[in-house]
Amino acid sequence: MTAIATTTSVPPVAAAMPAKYVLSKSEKRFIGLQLLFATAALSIGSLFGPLQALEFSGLTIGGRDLYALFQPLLASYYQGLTLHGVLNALIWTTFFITGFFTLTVTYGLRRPLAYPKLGWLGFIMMVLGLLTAAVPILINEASVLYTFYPPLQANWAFYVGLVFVVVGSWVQGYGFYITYYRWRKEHPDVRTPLMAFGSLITMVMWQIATLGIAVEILTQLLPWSLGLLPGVDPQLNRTYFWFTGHPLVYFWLLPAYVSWYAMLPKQAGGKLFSDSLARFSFWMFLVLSTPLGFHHQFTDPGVPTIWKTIHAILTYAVAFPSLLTAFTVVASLEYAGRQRGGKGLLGWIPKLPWRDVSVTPQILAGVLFIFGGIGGITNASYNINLVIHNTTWVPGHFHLTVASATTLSFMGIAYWLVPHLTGRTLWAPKLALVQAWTWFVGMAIFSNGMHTLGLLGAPRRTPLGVAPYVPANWEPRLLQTAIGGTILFIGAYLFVTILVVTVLRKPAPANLVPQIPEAESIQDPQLTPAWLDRWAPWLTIAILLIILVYGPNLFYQISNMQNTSPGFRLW
Amino acid sequence: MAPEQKPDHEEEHFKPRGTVLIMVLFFFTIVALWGYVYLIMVSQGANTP
Amino acid sequence: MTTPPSQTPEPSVHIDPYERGWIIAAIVMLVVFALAVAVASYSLGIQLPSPEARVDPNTISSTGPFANPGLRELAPGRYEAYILAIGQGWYFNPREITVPAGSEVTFYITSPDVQHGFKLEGTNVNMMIVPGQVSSLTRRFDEPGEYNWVCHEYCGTGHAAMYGTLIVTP
Repeated sequence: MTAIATTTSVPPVAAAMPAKYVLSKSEKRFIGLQLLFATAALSIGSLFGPLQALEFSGLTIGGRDLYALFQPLLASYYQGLTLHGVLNALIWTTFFITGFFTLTVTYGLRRPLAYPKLGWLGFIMMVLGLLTAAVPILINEASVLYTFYPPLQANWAFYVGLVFVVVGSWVQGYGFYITYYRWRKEHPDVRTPLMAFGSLITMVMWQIATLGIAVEILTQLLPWSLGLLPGVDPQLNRTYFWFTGHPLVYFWLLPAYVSWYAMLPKQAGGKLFSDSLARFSFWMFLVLSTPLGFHHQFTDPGVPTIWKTIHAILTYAVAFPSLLTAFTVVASLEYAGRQRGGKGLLGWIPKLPWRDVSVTPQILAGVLFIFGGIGGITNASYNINLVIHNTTWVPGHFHLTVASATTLSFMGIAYWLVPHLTGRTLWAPKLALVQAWTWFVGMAIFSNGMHTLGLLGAPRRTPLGVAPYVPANWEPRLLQTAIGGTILFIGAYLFVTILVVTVLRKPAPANLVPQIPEAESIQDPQLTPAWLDRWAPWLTIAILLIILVYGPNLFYQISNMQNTSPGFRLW
Repeated sequence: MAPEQKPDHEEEHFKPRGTVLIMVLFFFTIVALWGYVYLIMVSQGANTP
Repeated sequence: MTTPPSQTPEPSVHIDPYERGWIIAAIVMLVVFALAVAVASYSLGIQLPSPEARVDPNTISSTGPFANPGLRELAPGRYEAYILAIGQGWYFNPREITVPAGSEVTFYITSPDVQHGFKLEGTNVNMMIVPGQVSSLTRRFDEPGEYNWVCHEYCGTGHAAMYGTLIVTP
């Protein structure tokens, strides 16, 4: 894997990297298989979305609520909500991300995985974990939602399954690190290609962050569900959970950022506006994603307000790299629009390739994420959180992050990635554009309804269609979310249909199959300072900060652990 | 296709003016929406632990 | 960049002046937000719950103040409300509390079984109810009326039925 480029004008360091890398058949199959599991999870998980939304509207058929129709297949609203959360938020995302990162690491570094078998091992663990967790969920033995707060107690297999999914993703991550290490030894002075760089940082952040639920499950929930531990400490488990729970959000989001920074500018016909600030943003996410979990626990009784305050400040700090990303990505798009002939202050916007099936969903994802970001800053704002904590505002918010910034971007990525992997052209590209707009409109209606309902005080995770306390002024908003949710369902199934038909098509001539987009940067990445491409300082700061702002309270909570809560099954 | 090949002097003069306008709008949207919820909080009154 | 290697400029963080402006604006905005939040907390007294007491959820219904939950008058216009959030049957005990306008009520809430939530309509009283912990906030009620509180954390099949009412009499 050494120099191929010979053009004299190319600086020598950059010349050490080949211009392209062609994924082998088995690499394509491996990535494709992960996307297949991801999409299958999304297609099943999305079935429950419209049920929940229509439940809100109070829709009944023959005087019985919708869920009655599905018995005994689906026992309750909550079994459906557990499936929706686990399959969409945990499985669709994780499988898509490990598959996508396999591509960004191999293509970015222009070399195959050092140990492809390690990737397969991780993937097989994830599949086994998924199947293990699916059994108790499907037989209504684990209707504990995707936060699985004790002392609601799921069947042990649910916890084992989750552990396998997470550890499987770690194992795939180890394969990326070894590949990167080998590349780095051969290219000591080359800036890590941005798509690999962002992916590696995301993976490391994920591995630090998931220590929280690893400890929660292995030391408390699993032995407890097996009857080896008589009780657990619910407050401590909330703290463990949210150690992982917030960085989990960035694990979903950063792969979209990888695409927005390292691919989208190319797809839009331009270049990345700032390589160094892109890298700086990723480092800030490594440092700041984890030490802020108490902002999910502002209303918890067992956490002192001083730690809530410190974590609130750090949450404000992590808003900063996203605000930076907003500027850099929009400026990259402006550059692209001007390259395409756009004039005037905003004349570049209509010049963007709105007919591109991959560009449009990603831009729309970014637009929705503007409001997800604003809601996020609101959630983080300490006492303002009292207004909306655990109201429908919260699912309204994270449908703008994980179900828009992430999912709609992943849809846009899939529209070039699946054809690339399968050697097909995308079926019905115009329909794909309609799909993206459908998702956008459905989400705008749905999340606006959910946010407004939340401000009116409607609790989340509640079948409001049967709640006895619903005042009249919630009704129009409940109907609004039902309409939005139904449109989203159509959007989800259009997406799945387009991918399925694409895969079933005849192979297309190679020149028609989309290639991997890799954006250049306006400024040569070699001019980005070396300290923005060194792991040691950033990793050290990240770990020190976690110890500093989690250590004392976590130590206190662990040393005062009271395992007094036995398990309950109240569903 | 390979990076760093095309001399592109207008790149150095590229001023993202449209981006600035969008960011200004973004800024005021954040302040307005955040401020709206802040005012709801204030109107809902004091709590002490 | 096409500069020959010999003329390659030194690496440095290149920040566009407009982007620098945005960075400053973003930081200023976040700092102002933080100050506004601090004012609301310290001057307006809109505060978060903090650790109150730890209890044993297995004995909470039979011993201590939660054995007889309900309203207690500490002094004229000063009340304590002990409330149990119960998942086995999905109800609050008591389901209803009545105080005269102008009263200050300190809520003490815990659960003998699973996690619950407590959000009192139209106020900033919003707490997680975690077994083993007592959640507490104090609030003054001047406006007569009926205010519902709802459970906002999933606590089993009957979660949607779980609410209570605070009645403020003139």
